[in-house]
This record gives sequence, structure tokens and C-alpha cells, in this order.
Amino acid sequence: MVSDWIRLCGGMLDIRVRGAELERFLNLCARKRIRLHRMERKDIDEMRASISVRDFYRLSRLPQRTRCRVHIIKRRGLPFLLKKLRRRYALWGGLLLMCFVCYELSTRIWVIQADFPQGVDGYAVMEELEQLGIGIGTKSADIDAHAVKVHMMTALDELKFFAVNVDGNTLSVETAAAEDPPENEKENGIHDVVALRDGVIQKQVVRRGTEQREEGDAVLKGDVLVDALVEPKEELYSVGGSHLVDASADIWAATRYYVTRKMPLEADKKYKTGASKTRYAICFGKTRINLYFSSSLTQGNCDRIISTETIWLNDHLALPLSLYCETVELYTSKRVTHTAEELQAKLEYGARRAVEQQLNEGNITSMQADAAEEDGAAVLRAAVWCYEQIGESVEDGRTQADLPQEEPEETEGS
Amino acid sequence: MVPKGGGAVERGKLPHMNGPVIELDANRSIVIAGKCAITLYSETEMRVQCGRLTIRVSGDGLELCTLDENELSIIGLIAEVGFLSGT
Repeated sequence: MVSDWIRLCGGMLDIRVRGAELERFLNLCARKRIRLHRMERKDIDEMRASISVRDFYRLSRLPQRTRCRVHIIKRRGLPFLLKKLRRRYALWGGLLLMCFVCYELSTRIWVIQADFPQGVDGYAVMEELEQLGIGIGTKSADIDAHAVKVHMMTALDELKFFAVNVDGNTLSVETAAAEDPPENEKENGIHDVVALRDGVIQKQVVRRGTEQREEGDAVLKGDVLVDALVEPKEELYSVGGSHLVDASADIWAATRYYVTRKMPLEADKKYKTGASKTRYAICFGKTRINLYFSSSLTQGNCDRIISTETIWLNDHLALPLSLYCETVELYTSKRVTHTAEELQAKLEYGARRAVEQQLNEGNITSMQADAAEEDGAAVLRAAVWCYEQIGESVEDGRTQADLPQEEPEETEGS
Repeated sequence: MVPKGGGAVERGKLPHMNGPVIELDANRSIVIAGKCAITLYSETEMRVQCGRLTIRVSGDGLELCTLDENELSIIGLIAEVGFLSGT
């Protein structure tokens, strides 16, 4: 099969050989290394075979008389096809144009892959890239990765790392957010650490300052937990007195929250009617071609689900085509009445979320909740126990000058 | 005659033979290796001259599959292989 295709690339001829001495013809071909294929004896004085164009020319130049007549029945293969199509200028033009378009499209960016971590404004990054002229349809060769990196790092302070990689016609953007230095490495004036809320201290990590409470102590909001004033330790400091520092500590405590949440017992519930409508569009770069006539929305309540799929030739090569699919699903709403027990799970979830939003660092350890019906609403009252960091740095009003100064020791002989 | 797939005897390397090597694949094809020429060619009978040895292949629907300087192969329904003259 493969050898047939290879032979067809060079051109094959189906021939008819007629003569009284076909055996002599065959033996002559064998001696001169002229290969015959698909030999078929049709009659006592006739046979058919296939021969390559090159061998056919060699056969015609044989000095020996074969006493046979060779006729070409059919010409097959690439050379004959090309000859047949040689005057079809529009076809060749189209082929050339297609090659040029394929080459041109493969040199451009058609997909931008970006995964922005927390702390990086993706919209700002994409806008900056747009200002640099980098977007869908940009030539890959025009993207100077180093220059883009320098520009982005200069323009956006929030970036710690920025890189663009061109892979085929995919541009991947990699970013990392600049992080603030850890709290314990900063020293900005004189601060105390106070309790952010009421709780029982479970664990203390004091980096700077004087510890005021011990583990197991109950504290109220605003209590000083770590003082900025540090007393000298005689065994360590032979000279010098008290001094003020920027106190820094993590104070982990068990805390308690009381949460009340309400939800109306009556609510609208969605019921899908089963009717849906799907519309397709083809996006070529930034151009969208709708494959539907009416763009008006369906009357009534509906959900609209949109998906866009890019066509990939392989892992690295994407076509500048994407299929846009929009499905509209109709629904009707109906008034339903729930009980407090039915809504309790939702209310508890809401209560947890509300507490989690208030937590600075830490987690919820347990929750006790009761749901009841009041004035046409389900009311949840919950007590939530948490383990969280309650230390908060607040400015200390004192300065070094406010501290009592030690009198210098008198030296002998003075 | 060397049976196909035997593996014990390599074609053309038999120490006591200078003539053609004939390989049969059941009754469907025959390959004759060595310098040979066709003396009779038809769908029912083929005769191949290999030096002083003439090999007769008879059967039905016989076709020449390969024909070159060193090899000849015939496919079809082979009924008989015979040797008309030889040393």
C-alpha cells in the first residue's frame, strides 16, 4: 500500500503489451532491471502491467527488439495530475494564498493564558499588555519578552515577578504578587499589642516587647497583651536602662461570637420549563460571526449559559477560531413556604460565613445554633467558638523621653 | 526445495546447491530466487528456465507477481510444481 503511494508520486503507467513472444519481453525487462507491476495475462498474445515512467523511458530506449508492441492505457500519479492542473491558475493561486494565510496565522498570538495569583490585578495587567500592543492577533516575533517584563515591573508596583512566554501561538503570562515584608521584620515606631476581642489565651508567640499575660488568662477587648516597654536584664545588659520597642506578637485565643440570622419563610423557587434555545457563533480573533438571525432575548425568565471553546490542533497550536455557544433555558417561579427546620442548614452556613469574614487569622472550632419561626421568618441564633489570632498592634503614646533616666555611675577618683 | 519459515537453511547458502532456491507458501505462491527466465507464461502453466533446470508450475489463475534479475514470484492456485529437465 505504502509502496504504491510512493510509486504514484513518481508517476505510473498502465500498459498493454501485445506480441507473439511475451516471455521474451518479460525476460528482457528482468535483465535490464525494468520492474513490471500488476502483471496480468489477458490473452495468448496480450498482457497488461504497470510500469513507472522512468522504466517506461528505459524500455522505449532498449536497443533489442522485443517483438512486442507496448501501448499506454492509463496514466496515473502526481506528475500527470500536476500536468492536468497546470492551467488552472485560480487553483494554484488559491493554494498559494492558503499557504500564505496558514503561515501568517501561525506567526500570530491567538490564545492568551493567564493565571493571576491573589494580589495581582489581572485587569490592570491585561490593560498594560493592550497598551503595549500585545493581544489577540499580535505577531509572535514582535513580542520582546524582556522589554515587556521591564515595562510591566516598572508600571505595576504590585508585581514581584512577571514573564511572558510564547509557545506556538499561545502567549502565557506568569505573574507573582509582591508581598509585604513579614510583620516581625518591620519596625515602625513604638507599638503595643492589644486584644482585638474578648477571649482566653491559648498560645503566645512574642517576638518583641514584654509579655503581660500568660496562657490560660481571659482577656477583654483592648487589654494590653504585649507592652512596648522592655526592662533591662542585668545578666545580659551591663549598661543601659528601660527602652521602648515596636512590640510584635501573635496571640492565639479561644473566642466566642453570637450570630443572629434571618430568612423569610416564603420564597420564589425556580422550575425549569424544559424549553431551551441554543445559539452558536464563530469567533475569528476579535470578530464574531453569529450563526443565527435574531439576537433578541427570549421573553420571560431565563438562565443564560455561555461557553466558548477554542479549537486546538495540538497542545501548542491553536486555531484563531473559537466556537461560542449560548444556551437560554426558560424557567418559571413559584411561591413556596419553608419551615425553620428546612432553612436551618442554609442559615448555619450563612452564620459560619459571616463569622469567617470577621476572623483575621484562625478558624471555627464549634457552633451551637437554634432555629425558630418569628414573624414569618426563620431566625437562627448561634454561638460560634473560634480559635484565632487576637493580637493587634496599636500605637503607644509614650516616647523614650518619658522614661525615667538612670543616673550615671560615679567613677573612682572623680 | 526449502520450506518457508524453516529458518534452519538460509536461502542461497546451501553448500551442495548452485541452482535456484525455490520457496513455496502453501499452494498460494512460489518464489524462485536465482537467475531465471520465463519460457512459458499463461494462467494455467508457467515454465521457468534456471540454468539447465526447467521448473514447471501449473495451476489456476497464475500471475507473475515479481520479475527481476534475481527473483521471480508467482501467485495463484498452484496445483503442481515439476522439474522437466535438470542435472
